[in-house]
Amino acid sequence: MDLYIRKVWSRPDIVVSQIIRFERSFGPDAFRLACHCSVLPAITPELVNLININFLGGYNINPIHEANFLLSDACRPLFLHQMYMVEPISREVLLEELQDLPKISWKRPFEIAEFLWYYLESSPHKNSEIFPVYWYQYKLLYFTALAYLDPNTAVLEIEELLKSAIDNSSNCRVSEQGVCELFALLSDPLFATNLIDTYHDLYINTHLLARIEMEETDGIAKELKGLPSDIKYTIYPEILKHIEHKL
Amino acid sequence: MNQRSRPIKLRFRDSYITTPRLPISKDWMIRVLNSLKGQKIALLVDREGSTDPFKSFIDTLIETFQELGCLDSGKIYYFDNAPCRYLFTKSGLTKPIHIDQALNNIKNIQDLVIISDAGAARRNYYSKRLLDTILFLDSIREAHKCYWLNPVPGFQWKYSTAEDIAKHVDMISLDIAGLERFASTINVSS
Repeated sequence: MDLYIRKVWSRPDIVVSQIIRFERSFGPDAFRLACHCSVLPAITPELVNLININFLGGYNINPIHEANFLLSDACRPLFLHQMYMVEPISREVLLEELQDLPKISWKRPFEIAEFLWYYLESSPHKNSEIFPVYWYQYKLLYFTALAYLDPNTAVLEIEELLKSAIDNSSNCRVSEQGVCELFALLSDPLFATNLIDTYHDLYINTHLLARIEMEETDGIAKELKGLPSDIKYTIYPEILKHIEHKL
Repeated sequence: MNQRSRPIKLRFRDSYITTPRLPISKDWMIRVLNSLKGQKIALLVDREGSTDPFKSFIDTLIETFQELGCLDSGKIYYFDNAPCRYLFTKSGLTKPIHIDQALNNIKNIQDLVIISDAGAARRNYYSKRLLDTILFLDSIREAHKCYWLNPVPGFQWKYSTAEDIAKHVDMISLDIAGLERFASTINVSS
């Protein structure tokens, strides 16, 4: 069962042809940089530059490729600029390609996550220029680093965030849809968690929440019945009351 | 980053570089442009979305001109894509001013420097952008010597509006060689 929020993401066939066009236009160096940057679901010109410096220094990649990536179809600029969202399906494709790059080990996404953690922890004054405005993107980056480095803590904190968003807590600055998207973007690295029941709770509840948000609740009962029997989950009460009549 | 109760130990490296690196460092910019010290220029800077990835680089160049005493207050304007009816006095493309008024404010300055990708960043070709730009360049040719600094390297101008705009103005790549050429050219003509 695919997470429902993925329905609003781009079509994979279109994305793949965009990525092929990108590599053909700008060459393997630009492609290598794009693959590395795709670990981050939200990115700034500074982060692209730092990923280039920290992980691709030996390749002497022309700095213009940093701009080429940010201005490509893989990235969508946000209103006040200097912040870009990486298109989710582009991100997935590039992340796959990252593992296939020559001389890149399976550890590379974890190394980039560790760099991200180091960056967020060590530069509070820099972060304060952008992140108060882009609070959701900050949370995305925080949880991206945490998902790779400590998936157990990540699932627990995302669960807390989701419940807070559902309760409409005044302290929660991320919307329900934001948390659904956040979980969908990080579901792969989070799957490494030992807290698999919590993971399944998050998976099912964000899926159901996305369906409720999109007002597409028909067929939920059939969908849940079709899940493998070894998957244990609990539907949150706030979500259950919206779909009880459909079950 | 206050949510966690225990820090994460770095496993792969002892530390990471968190200071970004510009294509040309500020020290290099000052070194190359030092011969322009005190020489007055006016600046027109493109702030359209495609120049956003170059913002730090362009801002550092502007700072360098200011520190060298080349740029007086009120001699820098901003535009979106092409200098048309209105320019802006703030870098966020706010506080518009009619282009005639802006040009009147800089009429005593011989050297006009435009910083823009001219469409090369997105590799687009827009005839309207080309036409608007040519009309603008023609209108100022008598009063000013015009230089165009492009943050996109020359090998990426092909098939974009930049390739054709470069036929109407001295367009220079913003790399070390380009900046050196700019400095020597502007010195010769002054």
